[in-house]
Amino acid sequence: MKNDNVTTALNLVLAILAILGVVFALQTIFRTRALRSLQIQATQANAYSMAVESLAQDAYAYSQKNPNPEILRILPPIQNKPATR
Amino acid sequence: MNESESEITPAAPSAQNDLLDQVVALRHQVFTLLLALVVVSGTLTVFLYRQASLAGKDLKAIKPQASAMIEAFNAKKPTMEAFVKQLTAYGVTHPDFQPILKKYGITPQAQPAPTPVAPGTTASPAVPKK
Repeated sequence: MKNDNVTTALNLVLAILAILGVVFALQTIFRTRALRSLQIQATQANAYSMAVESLAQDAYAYSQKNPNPEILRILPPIQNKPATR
Repeated sequence: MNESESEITPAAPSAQNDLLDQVVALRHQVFTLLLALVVVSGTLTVFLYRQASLAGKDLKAIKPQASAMIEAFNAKKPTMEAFVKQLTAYGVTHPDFQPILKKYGITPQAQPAPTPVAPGTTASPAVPKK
């Protein structure tokens, strides 16, 4: 009888552990997914910004070689400084 | 029916003892296995708890910075897109500017939403969704 009680208690502990395991696994999955999504978005935003910045610098270098009021009118809003500081 | 019942003869005492021993041994085995399972399951639960906790801490640390960065990018995005559009339009009228646009994967013909690509990369960076 005593053995039966211990076995029942162990079964109960096992069930609780299984439920907790599932909860923690789901938490890990959702948090990791959110983290990865944020990282991807930040990386993409950074890559796009850097590409535009590089394009602006190239355009500025081009405008130095080929002075043209039309391109100078386009450049100021984003690129005021030369590529080399 | 009655005949078959009457045919069942009680097992010999030695055989009964043997069966009882087997049942006891089996009970011990089940108990030991259950204990082992509880230990393994507990270890796994602790590991999963740690993983969840670490992921939560990472998310908490990164979220403010990443959100601020993404918001800043989204605020600047229309200006950047307009700038790229203007340069693309400039490239149409000035063919000598087209190599620069090509370097970033921008073709002057592709008027709707040109996306600049970092030099050396093949895929264009997708704009993060809000």
